[in-house]
Amino acid sequence: MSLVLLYLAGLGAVSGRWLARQHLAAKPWLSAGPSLTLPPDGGTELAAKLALGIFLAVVGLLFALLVAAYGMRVPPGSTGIPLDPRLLWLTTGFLGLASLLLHRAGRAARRGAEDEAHATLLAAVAASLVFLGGQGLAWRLIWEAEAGRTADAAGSFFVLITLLHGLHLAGGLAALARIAVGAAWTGSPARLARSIGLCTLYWDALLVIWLVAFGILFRTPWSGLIDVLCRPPA
Amino acid sequence: MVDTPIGAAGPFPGSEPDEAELYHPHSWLTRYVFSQDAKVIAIQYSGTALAIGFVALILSWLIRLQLGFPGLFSFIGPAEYYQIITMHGMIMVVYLLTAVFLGGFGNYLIPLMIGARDMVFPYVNMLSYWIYLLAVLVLVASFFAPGGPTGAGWTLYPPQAILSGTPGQGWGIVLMLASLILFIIGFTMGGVNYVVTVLQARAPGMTLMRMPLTIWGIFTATVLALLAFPALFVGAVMMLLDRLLGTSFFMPMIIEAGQRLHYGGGTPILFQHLFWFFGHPEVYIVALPAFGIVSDLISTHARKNIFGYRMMVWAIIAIGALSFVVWAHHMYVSGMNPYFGFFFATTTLIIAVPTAIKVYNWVLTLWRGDIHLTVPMLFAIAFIVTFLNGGLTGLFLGNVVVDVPLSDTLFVVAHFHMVMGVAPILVIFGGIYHWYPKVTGRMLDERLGRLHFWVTFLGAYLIFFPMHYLGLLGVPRRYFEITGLGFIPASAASLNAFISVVALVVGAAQVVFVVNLIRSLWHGVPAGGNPWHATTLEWQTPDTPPRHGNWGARLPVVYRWPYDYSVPGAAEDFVPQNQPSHTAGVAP
Ligand code: HEM
Ligand SMILES: [Cu+2]
Repeated sequence: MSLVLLYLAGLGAVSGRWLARQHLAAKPWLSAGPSLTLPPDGGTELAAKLALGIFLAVVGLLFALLVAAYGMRVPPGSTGIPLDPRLLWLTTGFLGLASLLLHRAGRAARRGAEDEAHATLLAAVAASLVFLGGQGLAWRLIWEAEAGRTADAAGSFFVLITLLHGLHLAGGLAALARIAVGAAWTGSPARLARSIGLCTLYWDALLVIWLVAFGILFRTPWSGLIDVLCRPPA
Repeated sequence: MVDTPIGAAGPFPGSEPDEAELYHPHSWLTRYVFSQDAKVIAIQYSGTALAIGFVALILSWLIRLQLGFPGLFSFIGPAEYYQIITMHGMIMVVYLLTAVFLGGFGNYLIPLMIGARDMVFPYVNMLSYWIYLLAVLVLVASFFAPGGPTGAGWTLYPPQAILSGTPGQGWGIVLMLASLILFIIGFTMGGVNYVVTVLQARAPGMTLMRMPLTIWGIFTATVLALLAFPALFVGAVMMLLDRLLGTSFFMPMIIEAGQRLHYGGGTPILFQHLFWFFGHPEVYIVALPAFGIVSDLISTHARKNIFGYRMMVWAIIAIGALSFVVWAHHMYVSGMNPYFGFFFATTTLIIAVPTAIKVYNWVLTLWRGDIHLTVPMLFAIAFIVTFLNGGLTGLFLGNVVVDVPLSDTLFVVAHFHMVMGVAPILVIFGGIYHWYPKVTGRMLDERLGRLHFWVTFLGAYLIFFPMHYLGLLGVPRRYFEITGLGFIPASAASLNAFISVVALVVGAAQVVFVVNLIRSLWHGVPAGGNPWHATTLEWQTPDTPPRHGNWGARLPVVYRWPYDYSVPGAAEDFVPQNQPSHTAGVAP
């Protein structure tokens, strides 16, 4: 759980910095009159960004908890997952590609090249679908090797983490597909660019989360770090 | 005091409503059922939560009848008893209290108190409610499922929660976990919305330090909930996989009835960590909104500014942050490193400091106030007393050496009912008596309200005070029947019977409340816009009940903090937040 506490401390530091700028030491009973510090303009763009940021902080916590659980459950001598990691490198590649494509689509939309943005978005949807398909295949392979049921639990964690990660991506895909289709007729490149920007942030975050999970599930060199952070002291 | 008189028009570019952004209902269905108006959603949340809460109340009757008069009902055996206490506990904590405070009060009060037209994402807000309703229905379905609801205790500890010895092992536990997962998804949608609304949609002039403490409480509690529920989510998903797919996240190697199960290697303690990482902050998810609401009730009904506003805000934030580092005080008897016990006991006791500050400040607010003993005020004062009471026994239990013998006795049950059962419920009642006039335009009946208050308040003490004593005698918690425990005197049975009779009376008194709620819709005294002469924005709306969009053509402009009561030289004993000068008459 130390990892989770560290994560929370990070969030705390960010919110603390923000709070420190909010004049929490002001004496509100002395200062009648319209305040000079207006609340930020409630533009929908900022609100959507903020909402996504908060949601991602919560999603990040979810995965931090899963990693912590992994540390407490999987024995240090675990052999990891009985699966050829090359399959996962491939799927990872597609998720990275989807992310890149989204960045490109965003740039195109900002330039006003709507058709290009539209096409690139569809490509990003396709790449994400390939990623999900690949993860599903890996899922099945592990399941068939019965690794999902062993006492080692690394396989079970693989199933659990890819499942939750995949569901989050699927949710994002629903939003992205709506934008990709809607983009044909909204006719406002600025709005399109904004929506793509939000999706890009979401994809980037899910990519980072996946890379961390991947690293842990295959006990790469940084798994040692997990042992330090998540193993409960006896 | 520096007053800068500025016309209500004000030089605020952002203060014109952006009509294009407002959602407009087109039919009866979208206005009252699939509504995106936070006020309607608030009523839906509260109504659903109170309805399911009534189920939990009936369940508490059954528990009490069994404990007070063992064998009275042939249909309650040990298995049914477990199912009843489990559902009672889970419904009360999650589906009633959390939903009422955040989904109910949060939805109604956040936009109105900060001067917004609605939540920032009304559509997501609506989804949040419907997913909550689905979660409740799934939970209710488990009563009718084969084998009945789960009897694992509201803590759902594995391994027993999913083993065949536990009632509801077939469908019950699966439906419970599914329902919790749905609840968390729905709540997260609402929660992100509440936070962003408070951050982004405040009216001009509404700085953070001019927000009523109600908003501070709900806001901080929402942040806590967003950070605490994921732990329960992870725990629930993992247990569901253990149960359905046969993984062994929590399940160690087990031999059941001579048979070795296919589980192996799991750590039950991991679940306890996840559960309490959620479970302890949950106490404050319920308590912080209650703190906030009580502060506003006391200030309004004592016609005095809240004592130590800034300290109150800081204390809310400090309590929220600290509540994430105390969870293992629920696991003293699960076995842990003694240094950890020391650490968690220390952090637990440190939380008492900001909490005590709040209690002192409430008392100092009352000190020499112009106290009006209205029904909301009675409930608010009762809350302070009850919370103090429960907090003090919490100090006992926070110490490892005291907790170990008391753990799993009725002392613990009495403690947590005082602090997170009775106390928040009192605030919910107080809040409803206070804001009902705004919601409906009519007052609740005063005499019925007083009857409801006194029976509930005194009754709660008669129920839970003696329960501490039973706990000290060693009466264990979660026991269907107490037989063969020589150290428990026979008189304990009479006390148990007494408690049960009172519990029946208190439960019945809630019918008075419901009757009042319904009757007053038609027969209540018309309330006008601001019956309590309160300063906060929700009482300054152009219409009562507020219409869709809340503020008519113009957003309010905020000129002062929410506690300008009895200001010397002011024309009346309160100055609304949107009134430019305190010597002027009431703002138009
Ligand atoms: C009408 C008033 C209430 C009465 C008479 C009542 C009574 C009881 C009783 C007798 C038990 C079982 C004790 C045992 O043998 O283990 C219990 C358990 C519990 N109650 Fe209540 N209760 C009431 C209201 C509430 C409220 C408002 C809450 C909200 C926090 C609550 C939360 C719980 C919890 C969490 C448990 C533990 C369930 C478990 O052991 O799994 N109760 N209650
Ligand atoms: Cu606790």
